[in-house]
Amino acid sequence: MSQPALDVIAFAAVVVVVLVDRRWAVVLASSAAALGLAPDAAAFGGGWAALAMLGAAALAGVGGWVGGRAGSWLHQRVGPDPRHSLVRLPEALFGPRSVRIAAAAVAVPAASWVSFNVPVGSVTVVEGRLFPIAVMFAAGAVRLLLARSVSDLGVGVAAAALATSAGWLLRGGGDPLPAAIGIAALAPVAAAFEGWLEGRRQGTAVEARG
Amino acid sequence: MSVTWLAGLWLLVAALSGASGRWPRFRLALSLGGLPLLAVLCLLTSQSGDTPNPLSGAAPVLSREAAGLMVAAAVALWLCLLLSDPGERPELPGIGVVGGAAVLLLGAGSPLLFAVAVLLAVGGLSLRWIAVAPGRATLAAGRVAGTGAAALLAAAIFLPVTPQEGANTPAAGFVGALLVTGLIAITALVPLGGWAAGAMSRLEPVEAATWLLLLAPALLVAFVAVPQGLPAIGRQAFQHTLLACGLLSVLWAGAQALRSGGSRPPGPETGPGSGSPGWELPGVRRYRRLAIGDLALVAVGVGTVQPVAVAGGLVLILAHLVAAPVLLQEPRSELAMPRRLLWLALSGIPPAPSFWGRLLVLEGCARFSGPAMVVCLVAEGLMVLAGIRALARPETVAHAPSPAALAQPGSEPASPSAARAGGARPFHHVAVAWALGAAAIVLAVVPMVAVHLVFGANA
Repeated sequence: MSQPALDVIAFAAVVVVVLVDRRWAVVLASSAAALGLAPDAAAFGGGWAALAMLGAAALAGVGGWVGGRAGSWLHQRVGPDPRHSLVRLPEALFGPRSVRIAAAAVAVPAASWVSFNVPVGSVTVVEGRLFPIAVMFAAGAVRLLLARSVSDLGVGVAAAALATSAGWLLRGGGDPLPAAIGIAALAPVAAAFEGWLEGRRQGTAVEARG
Repeated sequence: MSVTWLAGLWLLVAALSGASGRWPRFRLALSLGGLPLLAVLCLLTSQSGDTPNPLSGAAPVLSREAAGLMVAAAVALWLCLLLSDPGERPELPGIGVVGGAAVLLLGAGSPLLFAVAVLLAVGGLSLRWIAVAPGRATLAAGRVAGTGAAALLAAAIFLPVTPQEGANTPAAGFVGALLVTGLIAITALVPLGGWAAGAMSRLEPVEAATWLLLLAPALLVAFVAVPQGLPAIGRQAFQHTLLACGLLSVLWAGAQALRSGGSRPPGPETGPGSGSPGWELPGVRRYRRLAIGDLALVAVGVGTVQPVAVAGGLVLILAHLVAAPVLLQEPRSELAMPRRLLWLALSGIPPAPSFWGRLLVLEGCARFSGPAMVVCLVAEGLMVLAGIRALARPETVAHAPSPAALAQPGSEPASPSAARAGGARPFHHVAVAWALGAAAIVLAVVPMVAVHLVFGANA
């Protein structure tokens, strides 16, 4: 696959990562980021690396569901609501999504600069092959820095972890796949944690109604 | 025992404590016995030699220096738990997660393992803080410190940058910038430092101590060897940024500590039963500011890369490990004398341990550059003034609420400590406070002997 095609696929995933919120945000963002970076992983690490990314996308969905079930079954007390905004801002013309889009728009040229100027491993710098990874990482950092809820933090961690995983494959070195899989596993963990927090609240609400 | 197993044990204690909500006696036993046991295991796992450079790519090893820090931090947190009010002890899961991550980051020889350990520590800490006190201040811990951990994760991709291939490329400077951003964000230095003071003002002492006594010192100790593993451009980017941000942080913290004096009159508007927690009293606020300033001085020592400044930083860390368990708690009349003794230890007046620590950092700055020394001198002067002011004014003591106030509707206590408002401190609280006061005297008389005893002969 050509480099512009890889860049476009990653950019589409970045749009999802930046915009998604509400329910299952971490699951959706993890799946989008993993699918968006899977072609890059295949290019750098072969078929097994692509499979690891697709596995991370699938596991994020499964982890979110299992975490939710476990949370509603094992609930001991009401925990924080992952979707509840902890920052109370007055009504404004531009909401949180607009702010995130603006920040991501700034991140795109920054990622482009990094991809053309900072060498990684044995890849030559003029190819700009780091762009999909850098822009995904920047999207994760934007979600972290502008977070308003626990769910936003989870989206940021998942996107940054998947980008680091793909970057580790690009970096090369001796057998990078196990470490890349370990880092990518943070995304399903984040999805499971969000599901668990969500499930705890739902279980408690059901119990209160009953 | 390997470093991974030791970290796993810390996490196991956290998981057991989190799952034992229905068995309060088991949780209490775990709280009182778990941390001393883990401290002993840290000591048994340690190996001689320096703390490994996280950029070197070596196998994980817990050095004697790192093990000493973990032991001292575990003991200090255990004393914090002892001095806090009895209750459900819900703090141990957070301490366990951050402790396990700290073991990993101190022992890591790989940049990726190091970054993941930092991410785990920051994630555990911020989620715990958000769960305890949901709000903008605690969310900021996740935002800022989380972004710092992400910066370290990004740096791992570009490491190692060898001096030969990286000296003439932007990679070296870029990696240095990422590393220093991560360190500044997590240790709460200016301009990314407001979150620590804001969040700690809303947290129980033990929760605040998890960052102040465990995560921040562990990260600073782990970063001591980092500049040596970078090419010249990266090393300069790292050192100069850390030095500038550290010195600005000390200036800011000193000024804030001077400001946060005892202007608020003692009375029912603060303290137990008042609707405002006891750790919002002026003395506690001032201590938190001074502690943040001293952590920034440790960062300055790391930035100078002078062994003498690093040793001074270790003295300062040790001084706060001794003082924080008492000074983070709300002031009470029974603990007034040991508190004054510990304030004396942090005042910066010779021969207080803080004086020796700050002097050594100043010497490191003098060796680094003249302007750095001048700024450091001014900043340390502010810190000393704040310490003297704390000594000169009697601390505002938390008062018991009147029975009439408690009888009013809506006068629900604001904190667990408020629940037992007005009761005298148990004997073991007073004994622990005096023991820490005695430890502060020993640290003042023989500071370097104490540092070698805790951190090993190589420190």
